[in-house]
Parts: sequence; C-alpha cells; structure tokens
Amino acid sequence: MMRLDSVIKGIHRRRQKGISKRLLKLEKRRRYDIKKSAFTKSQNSQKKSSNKPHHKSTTLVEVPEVFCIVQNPTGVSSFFKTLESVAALSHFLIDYRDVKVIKPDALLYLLSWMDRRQKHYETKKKLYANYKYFPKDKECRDIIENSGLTKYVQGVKNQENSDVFKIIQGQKAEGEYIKGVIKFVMEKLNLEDSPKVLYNIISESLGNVAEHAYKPRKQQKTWWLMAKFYDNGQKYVRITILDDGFGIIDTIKKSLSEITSREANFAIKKIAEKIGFLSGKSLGVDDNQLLLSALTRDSLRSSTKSSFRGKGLPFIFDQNDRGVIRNLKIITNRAIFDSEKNHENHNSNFNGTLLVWDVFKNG
Amino acid sequence: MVRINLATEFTDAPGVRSRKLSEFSGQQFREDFLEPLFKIQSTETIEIDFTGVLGYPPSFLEESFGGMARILNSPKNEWPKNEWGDLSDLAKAIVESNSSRSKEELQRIKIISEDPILHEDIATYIENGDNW
Repeated sequence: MMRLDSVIKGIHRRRQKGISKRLLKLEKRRRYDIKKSAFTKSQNSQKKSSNKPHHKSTTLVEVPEVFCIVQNPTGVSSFFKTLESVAALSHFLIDYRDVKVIKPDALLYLLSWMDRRQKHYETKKKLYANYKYFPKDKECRDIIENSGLTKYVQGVKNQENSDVFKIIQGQKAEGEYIKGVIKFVMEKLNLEDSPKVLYNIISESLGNVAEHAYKPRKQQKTWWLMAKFYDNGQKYVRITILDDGFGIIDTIKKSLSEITSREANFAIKKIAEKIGFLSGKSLGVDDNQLLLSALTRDSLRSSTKSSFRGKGLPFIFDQNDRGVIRNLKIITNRAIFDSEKNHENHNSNFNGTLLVWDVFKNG
Repeated sequence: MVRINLATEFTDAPGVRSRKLSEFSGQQFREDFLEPLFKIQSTETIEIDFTGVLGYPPSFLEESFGGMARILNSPKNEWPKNEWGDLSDLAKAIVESNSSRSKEELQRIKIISEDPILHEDIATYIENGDNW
C-alpha cells in the first residue's frame, strides 16, 4: 500500500514538474513576445516621431489686425512665416482676439497652409482653435463660424448663414461643384437665367489652378473656394478661389528653365519687347510684369508651349475688362494684380494662386 | 444626319480641357463623340445641340473643336512629342492617314444654340486650332 502511494506521488510530482516546465517555457515565450512587441512599437514610434516636429510648449501666434491677403499682403505673409517657424518647434494656437478684418482669402490660405503641413508630416491632425482666442469683433467671429471652417478646424462651432457659400475643396474642375456656386449666385442676386459666362469663368479658374501643376512630389493639387454675398448699398457676391500649386510666376520661371537657352532668349526678348521692359543691355522683368503678361496672352509661359494652351487666365482677365466680373485680384508667389489699383511694391510671398472677384447683378 | 444633345447625352456641366483636369472634359467629348464620327471621310451632317448646358468653358471648346481641327489638318511631323503622346489611338490613326483629310471636314458640324458668341467661338477655335 505504502509502495503504491509513493509510486502515485512520484508520478504526480513528475507530472507537476513537467507542467511547471511547460509553464516556465510558456512564460518565457510570453515575456519574449512582450519585449519584442515593445521593441517594434518603439522602433515604429521612433520612425514616426522623426517625421514629426518635437512639440515642447504651446505658443500663441497673433493674426494681423487686417487678416486679408488682398488688403494686407505683407502682414499676412509675415504672419504665415511666423506660424511656420513656431509650428516647427512647439504646439501653437492662433490668437484672433485683436483682429478687425477677416476675409475668406486668409481663411482659405490658412487651410491650404495646414493641408501642406499635414501632407508634409503625413498626419491627419486638424488645426485646433480655442474660443478663448477668438476675435472680440463680432463680424470677424461670424465669418469664422459661417465659413464652414468647422469641417477643417477642430473647435470651431458651425453657424448657418445664407449669405455665405461655405468653403469647398477639390482637385479637379468639376461641374457639380460649380453648379452649387452658380445656384448660390442666382439666389443671392435674384438672377432668372443661369449665367453661362460665370460658369465658364469659375470652370477656367479651377481648371487654370489645376494646370499650374508643377507640384513638389507630384502631389495632386487642391483648390478651395468660398463665396460671400454682400449688400453694402450694392449687392454682389465675392468669389474667392485658392490653389496650393506652384503659382503662376514660379510656373513661368520653371517653364523657362526647361527650354533651351536659345529659345529662352528668344522668348524673353519677345515678351520684353511686348511689355516694353527692355532697357539697355540688361533685362529686368519683375514678377508683377510677368503676371500681367500671363493675363494678357503675352506670357513667357505660353511662349514655351503650344499656342492654343494657357487661355484660362486671359479669358478671366477679359471678362473683368468687359465688366462681366469686377474687381479682379490675383495674388501668386511674389506678384499681385489688382484691377482696381496700380501694382504696389510689397514684401510678401505666397504659395499657389489666389483669385478674387465680384459678381454684380448687372455685371 | 447625326444629332448629339450635349446636355442629355454627355453632361449639362462640361469640364475644362483635359481628362486630368476635370470630368466631362473637352478631350473626353472629342475622343468619345467626335473622333469616331470623323474616323472616315463622310459628308453626313453632325448637329451638336448645346441647349440646356450650364456653360461651355473656352478650354472645353478649344480641346473639342480645335483639337479635332489639329487631328484632321496636322501631319504627324507637326505634332510635338507630348501632344502626340496624349492622343487616343483612333486620333493617331486619323493623323497617320490624313494626307487627304482637312479641317474643312468640320464644316459638317452644325451647332444648335441661341448664343451667337458660341458659334463665333467654335468657328475661331476650328480656324486657329492647328496654329501650333
């Protein structure tokens, strides 16, 4: 009996030993797996973090009092330079408290800046806004909340305002988008017939911005559009379109650099003769002159391509000349065209191309 | 006679020049509608009805009608490399056999529209289409 007991105990002990050996093995394996996965995670996060800026603290960046590219190109350009350098080092919040004027052009540029940043850092993190730093001015606050910015910026309330055609964005010049804008213009200006010329102008604007496609890394170009109805004695709709492409000036210059020097000399001479800018031996064509040449069909850029191309900008310019649209403004790279006033010297540099114009009922 | 109603058979919201820039582009209209009709020489009238479209961007019209003029009038050696590369196989075949073709064939096209500017514009695009 005793012998049988000790045999059974022996078996039990050996079995337990076997079990604990297996448990030990399993435990070792589990620990190894945990270590391995932690190592992989840290490797991945190191890879990701090397691609992202290292955030240390939150810095407030104040928008200029006039947050409008058309009215204050130098101030807005300088704001974005500051934002860029701050965002590279720390968290940032935009301080709108003292702003007196906000226009759609600056809001669209802010979105395009954020979009470029998201693409660069391969992140989907949205821009964040804090109501503590929102404009004290009611009109400015309203435009932020009515613009449809809430779709793109975290922390912005959405308000409905029938006088605003909220921001839309796209990559191609799609008729479906343009239909919406046309409907808005017709409603606001009480137009009975669909304005075909306006359809053509918006199409060419979106198509034109899509065509200046020298984009870094061959990314697809994005455009943003916003429209706003004004009733300041005169009723009109202001349409603002921005793209994040290379910009007209840089496109012209890039085109030039791609053709042979003999052809370039010929093209430069040709355009210089046309715009009367050839002085003595040296040729100095400033960016505003280049932009004007692009608008008036004498562009260096189209000199380098088939002549039937590049008619979009001259078409838009012609419609402004004919009064179909009014107050056309184009801002691209370092150049500004303003149909209301002479070109001013300014110290700004914008990515892409901004087109702003007004549509009046009797345009 | 062939009749194309742009709004119902293609779109009421035409795009701009090329497929890469928009849906329902001039390139698409030319390739899908015009090139097959000009595959071989013919005298059959082609009516294109623009009634009901929201607009007709200049680059859409130029690529459709000016583009067709280039295909019918320009021999292969006049085509810049990149433009040639963008052509459809059918357009290339038309160009390669085009010693007897000319843009005069586009006179077969009759535009239906109450907008006199549209008639003028299309005539200009056809006239200047092959001015490289």
